[in-house]
Amino acid sequence: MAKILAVDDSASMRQMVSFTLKGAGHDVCEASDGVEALKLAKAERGVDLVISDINMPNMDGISLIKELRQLPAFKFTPILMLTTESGSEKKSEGKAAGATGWIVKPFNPDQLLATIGKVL
Amino acid sequence: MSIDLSQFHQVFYEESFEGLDVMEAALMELDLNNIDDETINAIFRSAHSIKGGSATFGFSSVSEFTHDLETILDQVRSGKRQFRDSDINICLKSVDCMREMLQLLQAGEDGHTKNSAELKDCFARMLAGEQAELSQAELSQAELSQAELSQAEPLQADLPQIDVPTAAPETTEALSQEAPANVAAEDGVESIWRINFEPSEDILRTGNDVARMFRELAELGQLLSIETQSNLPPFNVLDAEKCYLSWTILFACKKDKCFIEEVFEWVADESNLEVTPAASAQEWHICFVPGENILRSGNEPSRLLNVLSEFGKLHVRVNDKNLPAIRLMDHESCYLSWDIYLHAEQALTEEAIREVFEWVLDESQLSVSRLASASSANEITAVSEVPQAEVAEPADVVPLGSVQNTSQEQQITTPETVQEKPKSKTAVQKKNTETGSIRVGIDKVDNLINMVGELVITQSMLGQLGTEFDVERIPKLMEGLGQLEQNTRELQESVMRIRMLPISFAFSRFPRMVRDLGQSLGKELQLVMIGEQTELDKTVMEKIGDPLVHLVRNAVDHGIEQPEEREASGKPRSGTITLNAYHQGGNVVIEISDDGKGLDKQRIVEKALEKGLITKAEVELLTDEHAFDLIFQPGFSTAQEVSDVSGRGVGMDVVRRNIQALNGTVEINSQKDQGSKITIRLPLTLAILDGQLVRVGTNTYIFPLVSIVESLQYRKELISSVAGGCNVFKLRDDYVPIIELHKIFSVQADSDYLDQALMVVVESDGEKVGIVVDELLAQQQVVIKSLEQNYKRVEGISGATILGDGTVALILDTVGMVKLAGDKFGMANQLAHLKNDDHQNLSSQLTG
Repeated sequence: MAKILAVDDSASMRQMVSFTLKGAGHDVCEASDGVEALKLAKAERGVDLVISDINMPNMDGISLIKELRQLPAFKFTPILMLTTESGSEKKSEGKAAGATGWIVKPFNPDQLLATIGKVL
Repeated sequence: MSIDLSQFHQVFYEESFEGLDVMEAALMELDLNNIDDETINAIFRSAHSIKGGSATFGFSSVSEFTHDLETILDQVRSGKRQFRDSDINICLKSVDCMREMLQLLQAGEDGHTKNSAELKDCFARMLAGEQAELSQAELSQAELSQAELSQAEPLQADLPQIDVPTAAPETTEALSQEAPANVAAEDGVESIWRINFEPSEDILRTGNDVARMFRELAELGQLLSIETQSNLPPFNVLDAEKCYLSWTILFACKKDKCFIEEVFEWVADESNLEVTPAASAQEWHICFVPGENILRSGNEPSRLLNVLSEFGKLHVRVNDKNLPAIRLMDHESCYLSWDIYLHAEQALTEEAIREVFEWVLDESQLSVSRLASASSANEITAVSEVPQAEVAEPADVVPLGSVQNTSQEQQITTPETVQEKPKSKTAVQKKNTETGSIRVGIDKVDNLINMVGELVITQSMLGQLGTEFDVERIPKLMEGLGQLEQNTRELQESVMRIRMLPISFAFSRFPRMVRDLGQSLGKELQLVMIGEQTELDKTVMEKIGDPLVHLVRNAVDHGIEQPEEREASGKPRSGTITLNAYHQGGNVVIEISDDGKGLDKQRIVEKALEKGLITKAEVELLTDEHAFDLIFQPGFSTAQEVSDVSGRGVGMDVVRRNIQALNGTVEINSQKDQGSKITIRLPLTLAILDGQLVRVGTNTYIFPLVSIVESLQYRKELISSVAGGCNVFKLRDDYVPIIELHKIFSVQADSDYLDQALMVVVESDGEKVGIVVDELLAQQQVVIKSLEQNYKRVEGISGATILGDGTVALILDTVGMVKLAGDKFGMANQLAHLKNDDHQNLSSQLTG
C-alpha cells in the first residue's frame, strides 16, 4: 500500500495505470500533465512514487521531474518515466533530470506491478 | 493479477479520435515556412499517444502504422526533416486512415485497411529519404499492397483482439531462444556471481535506493554475502545526500546474468557495475543428506555445520521434504538434509571438506562441488545432479516422458483458450460501439448535482409534511409542491443542457474539407466560421452534419468561381465561405454563405422546364424565391457536368428532407454575382418543448411557446375581409392574417362566431399570423413524441405529446400550418378529411 502519483495526458493510459495500481491496493492520484502533477505533488503528502509520461502538453515529463526534484519532499522519491522511445536519448535526458527509472510502453498491468515493485 | 484491458478501450477510442481531430486541425494550421514548435509538438503528441495506447491495448495494426508516422514527425520536430506541402497531404491522409482503422477496430474488426498499407509504404520511402508522392504510391502500390494485405491477414487476425499486449509472450520466447546457451542456468543449477557495484555519488538523487536493489536481487536468488566498502570523506566535507559506499556481493541464483544486470538497469550507465562469475576456488556447494540414524550415533548435524563455518561464510538451506507424517515420525531419526554454500576465505580442497563429514560419510550422501565459475556450470550439473533430484524434489520424481507429455498438452490447450476468449470479447466490443458517450463540462455536472441536492431536500420536506398532515398545513403543502415543481424544472433544464454541444463539433470537419476541395478543384478558398460556441442538441448535431457537408460542397463547387474568373469580375482571387451559427428565439440558425457567382435563375428555370418540374405558364409568375426553391426538388441539378464533388442531383432534396425531419427549415437567398446564402433553422432540442396548451372544441393543441407573440381577445371591429377569402386583423399598426384552427383541422369549435374566441398571434417565417382558438389552457413543458416514428409525418403538426391526464395533444407547427391554410382554399374538403382521419388514427396509436 503506497501512495502513487500517476501522470499521463492520455486518459486511457492513465486509467489503466491507475486501475492496475488501485487493484494492487495502492492509493493513486492522477494528473493529466506536468503542471497539474506539480500542483498535486505540492498539495499531497507522503507520495511514495511518481509515474509520469514524457510527452505531455503544458509541462512535459522531463521538466516535471526536474521540478519535483527541487521539492524537498520529492528529493529521493522514486520517479518512473513511461516512455515509448526505447532509444537511449530520452532515457538519459530523463535520468539527467533525476528520474529513478523507466517503464517502456507498451506494458501490461503485470509488468507495471513488477516494475513498481522494484521501488516500493 | 489479470486485468481486463478491454474496459479501457472505449476511452482509448474517444481520446484517439480527439487526438486525430487535434492533429488534423494542427496540420491545417501549420505554416510550412515558419513551423511553429507548439503546433508540431501537438501533432507529434497526438500521434505518440495513439501509438502508446494502441500498443498497450493490443491494437498492433494501429501502433505499427503510427510508429512510422511518429518517427517522421519526430524528425520534423527536431528539425531533421524538411516538411513540404505534399508531406502535409500525406499526414492528413494518415489521419483519415487512422480514423478509419480505429473505427474498424471499434466495430470489432481487424484494423487493416488498404490505405494503411499504402501509406505505410509511403512512410517507408519517406524514411528512406525518397521523394514520396502519394499519387504514385497509390497507382503502383495498390495491387502489391492488396496482395500483402491478404497475405498478412491470417496472421494479424488474432493480434488486435488479444487483450494483453504481446510483450509478455515475446519475453518468454526470447528466453526460450536463449535457453540453449544457458541450459544449466535454466535447469535450476545455481551459479555464484560476484557483483561489484560502485554507484555514482548522485544515485540517491535520482530516487534509486541501493537497499531496494538488493531486495530485488534477493528475490532472484540467494544473497550469500554483502560486503560494504566505504569511501566516506572527512566529516566536514561529507554531503549527506551523496552515496559514498560501494558493495561487493556474492550472489547465488539460477538465473542468467542479464537478470542480474536488469536489477541495476536504471543506474548501470552512471555506476561501475561488474557482474562476474565468482570464479575463485573458494565457492563450494555441499549437499548433505545424512542417514536417518545419524543422531543415534551422536553426530549432531549442527555441529558439523559449525565446523564447516570455520572455513568461511556459510549459507545453509534446510530441506525438510523428507519429513514423514507425525504419526510415522521417530523423534530419534533425522529426516532433514542440507544444502550448503561455503564461501571459503582460503583455498580448500575437497578432501578437507569431506573430512568434516568423515564420521558420518558411510551412512550419508554427500556431494561436494566447487563452483568454479558460471561458465563451467555444466560441469557442476553433473556433480550435483544426484542430490538435486533426490533431495530437492523427491516428491516430484515422475518418469521424464510423462512430464513432457503433460507439458505438451498444456501447450496445446493454452492457445485454444486464448483464442476463444477474443471471440466473446469482439461480441462485447460490437455492443459497446453502439452506446455513444458524451463529454460534459464539469460545471454542468456540478449544477446537476446541486439540483438533485435541492430536490432531495424538498422531497424530505414533503415527506415530513405527509406523515403529520392536517388541513391547516395546506399552504405549506402548496409551497412545497411549488418548490418541487421549480426543482423539477431546473433539473430538467440541467439534464437537457448536458445534451447540448457547441456546434464546433459539426463545424470542425470543414476546414479540412474546404482545403481538400480547393486543392482538387483548383480554387482558392477561405473559410470563416462564426459562432462556433453556439450550443445545439447532440442528436440534432449528428443529423445536421451530412446536410451541412453537402451544402458546403455545393457552395465550393457551384458557388465559388475559378480564381481567374473571379479576378476578371473584380473579386479577390480567393473565395470566401462563411459558416455562421447563432440562436434566435428557440431555434438555432445556421447560415452557409459564399461570395461566388450566385444562383442563375434563368438556368434553373430552363432546367426545371426541361425536367417538367414546372409548366411554361408558371414561369411568368415565378418569383426569385420560388425559382431558387426549385433546386430542392428531387432530381434537379444544373451542374453541366457531374463532378466528383457534387452535381448528381440527389443532394438538395435530401438535404431539405433531412432538415425537415429535424423540424427545421431551409431557405436560400441568392444574388447573381454576389453569392448565395442558405439559412437553416433548427429547433434547439428535439426532446422537450415549452408549450402553450389551447383548446379547440374537444381537442387540445399545443403551440411552441417561443413562436407565440401575444394572445388577445378577438374584436370584431378590427377584422377586415380581404380578397381571396382571407380575413385580416388589425393588430396596432399591422395587419395580421387570421387562420381558424378548427377550419384547417376540420374539427368542431365551440362557436363559429369569431367574437367569442381568442386569438393567438404567432410568428412564422418572420410573418405574424393570428390563430383562432376557443380557449387558452396552461403553459407547460411537454415531452415531444415523434409523429413520424409512431404514425407518419403530418403537415401542420410537428409532433405529439401525452398530457397529464393521459390524452394525446398535437403540437402545432406554425410554418406548416400557415402553408396548410394557404393550400386550404383550393382543396379544403380533401384535406379536411385527411386531417380528421389522421387525428383519430394518431390518437389511437399514441395511446395504444
